[in-house]
Amino acid sequence: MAVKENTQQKGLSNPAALALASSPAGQQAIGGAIDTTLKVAKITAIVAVLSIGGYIAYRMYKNRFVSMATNSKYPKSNITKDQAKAKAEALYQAMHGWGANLDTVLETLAGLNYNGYVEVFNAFGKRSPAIGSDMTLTEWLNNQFTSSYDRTQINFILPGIL
Amino acid sequence: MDAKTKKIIIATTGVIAAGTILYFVLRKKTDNSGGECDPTGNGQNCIQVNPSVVADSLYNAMKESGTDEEAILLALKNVNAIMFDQVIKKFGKQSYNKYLGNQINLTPWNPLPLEPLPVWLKSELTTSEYNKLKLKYPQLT
Repeated sequence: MAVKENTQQKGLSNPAALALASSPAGQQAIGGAIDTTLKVAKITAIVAVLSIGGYIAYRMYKNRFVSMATNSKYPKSNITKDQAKAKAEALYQAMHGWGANLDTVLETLAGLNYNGYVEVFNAFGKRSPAIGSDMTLTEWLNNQFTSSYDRTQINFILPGIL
Repeated sequence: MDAKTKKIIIATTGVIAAGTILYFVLRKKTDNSGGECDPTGNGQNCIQVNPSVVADSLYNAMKESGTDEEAILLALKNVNAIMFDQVIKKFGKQSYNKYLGNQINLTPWNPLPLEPLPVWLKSELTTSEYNKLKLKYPQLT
């Protein structure tokens, strides 16, 4: 095997490795290694993107809004869908921001039957508070009104909800 | 059968299957769980409440000086507007010292006036508390 003269080489090198690298078989091996590295890099990138995307999709699915079902055993909702929307807005306005206005909440909830509450719950959907993740209407009520007296008042106006 | 017919059959089955799945996923959900009675009590007089027991609890919450508002709301929790009339009846009229909010009679030669439940409630509760009761019981003025 002819060894290429490398007069530029400074210091000691491994003549055997150099000999191997500069041979045609050696060159092919090096090219193959680069190919494989690229392939591996490509596969890693695809897996990373898919797993991140999959995780995001999973989180979105877990946090999706699940509507309440109307209960056919009880009387139909005593408010219309438009009234439910208006009530949902009023409740959100009363609760978000600094301090929660219990009186407004009680007035808005007064007189609703179970299926009426379901309509308001569905119209409310999931809304975001200042801090924390999106919550449904029942979660908002539980979150904003924690004192036992507040909860007694809500349970008085609308028993069976909280 | 030839390839074309096979394809058509598979396609039709696929469409029917997809349609059925979509129907079940997208239809309005109804729920049949829970008890027999609408728990809110609004518009339906289903939950059984003993009006005498309620009237007693209210009397006990109010008879001394000071009022236990929480006890009043707890006693009235499952009492809807229709049942409230029964509670008023069972409460009847009880002697009441409006000025002291209790039943101490400072003028023993003169018996205390007998007042019905709405008068007791209006006198014992703050305006905002009383307004909360009015939200649920239209018969209160």
